[in-house]
Amino acid sequence: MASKEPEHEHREDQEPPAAEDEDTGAQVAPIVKLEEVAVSTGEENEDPILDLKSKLYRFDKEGNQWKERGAGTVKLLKHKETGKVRLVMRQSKTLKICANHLVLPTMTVQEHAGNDKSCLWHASDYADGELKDELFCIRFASVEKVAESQKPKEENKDASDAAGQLEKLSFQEKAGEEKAVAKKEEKETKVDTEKADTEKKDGEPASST
Amino acid sequence: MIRRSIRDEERWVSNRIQRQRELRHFKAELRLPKALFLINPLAIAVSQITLLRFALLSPNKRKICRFISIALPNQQTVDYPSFKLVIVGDGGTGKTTFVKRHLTGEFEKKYEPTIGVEVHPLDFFTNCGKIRFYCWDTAGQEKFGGLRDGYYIHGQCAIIMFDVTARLTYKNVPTWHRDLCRVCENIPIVLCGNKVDVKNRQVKAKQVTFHRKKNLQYYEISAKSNYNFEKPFLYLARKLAGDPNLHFVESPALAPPEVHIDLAAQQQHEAELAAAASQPLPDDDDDAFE
Repeated sequence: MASKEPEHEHREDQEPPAAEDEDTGAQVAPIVKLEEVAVSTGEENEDPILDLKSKLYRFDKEGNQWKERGAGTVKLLKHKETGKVRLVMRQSKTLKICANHLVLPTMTVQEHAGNDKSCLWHASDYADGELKDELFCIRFASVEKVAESQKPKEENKDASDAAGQLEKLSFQEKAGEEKAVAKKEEKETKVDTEKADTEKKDGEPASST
Repeated sequence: MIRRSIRDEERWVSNRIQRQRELRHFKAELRLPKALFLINPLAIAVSQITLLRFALLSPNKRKICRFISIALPNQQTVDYPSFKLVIVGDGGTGKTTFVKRHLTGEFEKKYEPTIGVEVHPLDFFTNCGKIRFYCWDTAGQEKFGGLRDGYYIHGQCAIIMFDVTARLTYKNVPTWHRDLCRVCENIPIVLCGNKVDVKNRQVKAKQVTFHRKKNLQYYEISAKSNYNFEKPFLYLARKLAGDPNLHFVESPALAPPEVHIDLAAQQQHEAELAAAASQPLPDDDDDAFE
């Protein structure tokens, strides 16, 4: 379905403690004891059909202006069973979620008037764990910057690919829309999987103070 | 004459009772995580006085001040580890911008001095579970200082910020450090040289030596470009937990619930889109992504 499967993994942001980080800090006694916990990305049952570096903005209606939301990796994830497609974007380094919403048939993706590397759409976003109406705009890197900043794993993302990212996103979102339409008829299945997801969330381990 | 003074006295007493009642109410509302140790009558009493003082400021400034009283009672207790983080440094070094960047992702260019303090909860997901920093973003400007030392009480970690493009802000670091350490002994402190994205630096990396003398951790950061912007929090989390291998992990991206969008809403969204499409992006200069 996707013209090119993304080959790089999203792990690149989780860098190990860098050697350059010389610790000049004083020895202080820790004040909490934390145990390692099982970590879930919530994306285990999905396949990425798009995975790109980008910058996300949200529209501030009161101020009538775009504001940055985050810079990191945007993914379109397709559920392995239900086929539902959603967009998940995470801030690099902190890996926090800056966008998380379903790709719906009602969505229209529009080009930004002043920037051909950007496009915008409306979504009911779930990044904070509650639904919020947002206008998003996403900007992709320029050809040179892609080449500069990308890791070797991404070397297949050549110039022409980078230039076509915008169209690719639009295209894939449309593809996702079709899937979403098809899935509308199987609501029961979806409800089940959602339930499963919620259960997973509830099982999130709490650590001791 | 005498009658009047008796009335004054009565009024004074009733005011006092009223104040005490308010204070009790305020304390009851606080119910903060134990880690914060905020339920300090002295600090609250002083903060009320400070609030009174702020009431004399212009309405606009007062609006910001109100946050002091609002921010505290609204903080809900969380069932995961939380830490009081005090952020200090000269005015205009980027403390608020740095916190805001972490909170919403936005980069605020406009300078609006912080009055007193603003407290923001900031969560991070680590391989050892979720943690929260209550960021006490304090006023850098002398005249808006508010409680000063009062904000440092029971601070469990701290960030001292200076601006690498303004030498004076680095020169004042020892003062901030001294004041902080008078209240908070033996807490992990990170010194941050902000705005390293600017080409004309006044304080070069080599000239920063204070952290070695006082055993602080130092990071060059840029709230604008996000350079090292996660490092101060990562360092503090590692120190507070005594785990040098602690790292940030992807938080669970929960399945978004199904939404139904009716035709009218959709048309409205499309109209909004059309309008928003003509507004320029804030940093439309094709710079690097990290």
